[in-house]
Amino acid sequence: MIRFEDGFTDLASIMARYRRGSPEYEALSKLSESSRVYTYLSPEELEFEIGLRRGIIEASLALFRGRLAFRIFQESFCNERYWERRQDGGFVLKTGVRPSDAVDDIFSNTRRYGTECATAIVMIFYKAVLDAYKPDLFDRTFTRIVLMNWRDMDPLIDPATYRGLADYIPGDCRYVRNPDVDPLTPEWQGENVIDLGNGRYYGHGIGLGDMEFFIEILNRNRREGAQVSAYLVDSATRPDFRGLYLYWKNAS
Amino acid sequence: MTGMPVSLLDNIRISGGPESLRNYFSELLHTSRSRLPELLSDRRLRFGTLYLLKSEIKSSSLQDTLPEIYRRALELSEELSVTRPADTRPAVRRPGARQSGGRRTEGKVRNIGQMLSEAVTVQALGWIVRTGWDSDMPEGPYEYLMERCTSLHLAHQRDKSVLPLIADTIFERNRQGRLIHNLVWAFFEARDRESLYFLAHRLCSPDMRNAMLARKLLSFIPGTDDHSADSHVLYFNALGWLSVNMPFMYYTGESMQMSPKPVFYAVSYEAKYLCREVLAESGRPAVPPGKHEAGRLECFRRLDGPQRQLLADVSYALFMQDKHRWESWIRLPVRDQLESAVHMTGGSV
Repeated sequence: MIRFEDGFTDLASIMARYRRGSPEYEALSKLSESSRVYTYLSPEELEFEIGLRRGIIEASLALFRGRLAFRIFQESFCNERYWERRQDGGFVLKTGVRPSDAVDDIFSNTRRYGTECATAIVMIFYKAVLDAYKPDLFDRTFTRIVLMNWRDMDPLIDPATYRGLADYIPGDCRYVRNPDVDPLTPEWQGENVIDLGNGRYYGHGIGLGDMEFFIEILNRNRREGAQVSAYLVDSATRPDFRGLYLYWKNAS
Repeated sequence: MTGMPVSLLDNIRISGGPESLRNYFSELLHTSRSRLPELLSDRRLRFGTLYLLKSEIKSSSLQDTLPEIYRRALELSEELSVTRPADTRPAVRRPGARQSGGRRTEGKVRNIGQMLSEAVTVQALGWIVRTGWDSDMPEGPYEYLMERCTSLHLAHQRDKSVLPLIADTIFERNRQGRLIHNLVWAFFEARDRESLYFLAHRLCSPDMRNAMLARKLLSFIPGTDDHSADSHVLYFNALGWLSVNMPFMYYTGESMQMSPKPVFYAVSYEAKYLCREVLAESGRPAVPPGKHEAGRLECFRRLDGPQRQLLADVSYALFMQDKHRWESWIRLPVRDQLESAVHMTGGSV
């Protein structure tokens, strides 16, 4: 269930703003029907989180449509007008460019970028925050951006992995693990996927589909004689929704 | 590599770089070709040197003069440098499933089982991993090849003897800002609990980069997230925690690809409660529990998390102190065990 610290109780009025079947509606339904209590400071905080989750889904679809290339770190590439490629294969925001322009460029010139799946999720998180914050606040807030797996993420976004959750919500980053991966292709050890709602997921380098689709693809890249199937891990990695909300609210 | 005797060719590579090495080789090829087989057969030779001379050795038809392991290592380096074919097509086209991103699918590599069925290949692979991670070697394709060889050697062959060296390499590369994710993955894929000590001693490293990485890799040990803790206290606490929990720890399969803060190992509190060792790779008991133990576990599972941890800690502490007393204690109803455990720990749950 959802509880508001400011005493607000009319959840139906929030739900009425979203179309049935939309990821937002699904997220609100899961939160409100859960046996676990989800506490928000106010309806505004809940709507901020729901909006950010929607942004994560939209950014995932944009990367898919833009055909972001899959590359291992040794072969990663980026638009060097905005990003500098580090020797470890990560990308660092160039000095003198607007952070919002650099993040937007990934989504408008997607074919000029190639990376692996966790970095794609990091790109998605930054884009969702950019869309929520708008360019001015984003540029003031994120002056140093590193896109490199989960490493060196901005402490305000501060993604954390939650294990054994009661509920998984659209906009969550999930992980499909491939324990019997072919050791010659460690890049297939697993796939970070974004829950798009309605049982569908996006995973960079594989595409869009239901969970069976991702498991099937990973299973086809196991070592010879493998006996253990790829599986969806009981965890989700989420940005710090509350931290992002409070910063946005104080800055607005 | 420091302090170890090196071959002449390695010495030239390390002091002058790849070009000096190639120039020296080419000069010798014209002036004293008969010396080359001897230099290339040096038992101290390192893989990086052989790799850098690969084209020269081939073009001058010197492969056949190489010791068998070195020759096989060169062949392996060609086979494993090919981008492995990845199958991204679903067996049956699924409604609504659409693909993107195009993971690269070129080249052919023999299957691993077939490749590693030859003793000389296994020896060559081990030699590549033991001598190939030199920090002066170029990145890119060479690094990619080394990652593959190390993955194969650790995740498939499970050769634990190279783990101290791989731990050193991980920390060295981290200090240099180089890629470590796949190397860390391969290290943990060896599924060797004892190897955690190779990471733990970096907790008190005077180099903050080492200490920070050690904390990250060992984040499953309580207290490693306390950045105000004295590094030596943290180190000794970690050693104590590892030695107590080692028989009950298992590899979770988490990786730096999966999570910003991966939890690489976990403790099986059920196993600790029964004082039964688990398999590091699965967390399953090395010996399946008997009928009585299964009954005790059923009651144990009904407890909440902190209660389970308390009972497990107390049970194992008692087991180590006085096995006779433990045998009586473990037969008590779980409620009585909890009561005595709370009493023994000074009333804290």
